[in-house]
Amino acid sequence: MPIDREHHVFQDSDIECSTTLLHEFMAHCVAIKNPTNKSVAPTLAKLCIELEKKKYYKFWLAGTEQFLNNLNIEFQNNDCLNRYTWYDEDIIPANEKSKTVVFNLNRQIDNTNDRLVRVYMLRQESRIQIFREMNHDDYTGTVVENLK
Amino acid sequence: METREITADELHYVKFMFNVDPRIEKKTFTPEQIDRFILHLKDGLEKHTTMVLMSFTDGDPVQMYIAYLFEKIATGYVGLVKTIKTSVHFKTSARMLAPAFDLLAEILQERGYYKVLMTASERNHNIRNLIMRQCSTHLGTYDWYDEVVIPRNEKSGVYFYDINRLSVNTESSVVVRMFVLKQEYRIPLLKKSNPAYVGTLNAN
Repeated sequence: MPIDREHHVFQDSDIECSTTLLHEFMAHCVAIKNPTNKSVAPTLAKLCIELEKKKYYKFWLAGTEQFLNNLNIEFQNNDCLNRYTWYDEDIIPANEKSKTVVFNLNRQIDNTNDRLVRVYMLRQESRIQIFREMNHDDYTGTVVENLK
Repeated sequence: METREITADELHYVKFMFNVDPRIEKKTFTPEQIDRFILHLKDGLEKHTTMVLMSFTDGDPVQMYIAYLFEKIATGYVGLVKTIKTSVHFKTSARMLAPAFDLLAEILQERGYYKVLMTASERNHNIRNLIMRQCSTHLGTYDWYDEVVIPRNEKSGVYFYDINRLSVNTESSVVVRMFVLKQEYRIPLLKKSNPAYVGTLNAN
């Protein structure tokens, strides 16, 4: 199913880019398909592990601001998810689509609420660990604090 | 010093810069490679998928930032940064480069693009981050994340990262680093068009 959506949206030479993004869309899909009354943290944590195996270190979720803020508590209490931080990317008004294609994937237009799109980024410290394990001979890994 | 976007009709300034010094870092580009690159830029400028931000002193270009726009994911990608002479110490060139980065950040933020990718060796990234943050208004408002480490003499294998690079780097590994506007700076931008949005600070 995600493949169809991918081809529907990406019809030009961005095909490899779209492959990279496909798994980020899956995360997006998980949030949409799980109603707010059920914890999505265990599913998201499993998904993150799979994403990281594929070297994908970010994903987006869309929901009401309140829903995403509530989700933060679950993130904080999950050993996998608390390695991620987040940033607000866009607000999709009720009854509208985002002007950014990626934020419209795997979601239906919400007729009632504005939807906040939040990107979740694996923290730099965790990325450094991963890249170090790849044994690049001239990669040290730097966090902002190292430069101060 | 004046800093502005140039148009497809002004690409002779890019040629001028390569005529003065055909190198980027330690690699020298042939006239044919430069001409092909300028054609690539012309195409991008006409399609509004590319921006060339250039600073001028007394009418002559002294530095440029070339950025690509990925509308589908609301992300900018800095494909090339060049000062008129590569031999200039970065403490000097940083002062020349900062206004162009700041202009780029402002243009991207106006479009709702809060992420920008840059590729460089880890060392050059760190030098830039350390020195340029002191003379840039905007660089310090971004966090950064390493997305990929591309080994020397290789491509990343991710089309998105490879397409707009001028060549494979033979000197060192290259780090694709994503600069992400900090949450506290996004909140006022998002509030402008969405009064109902409250905005929550993250724990960074």
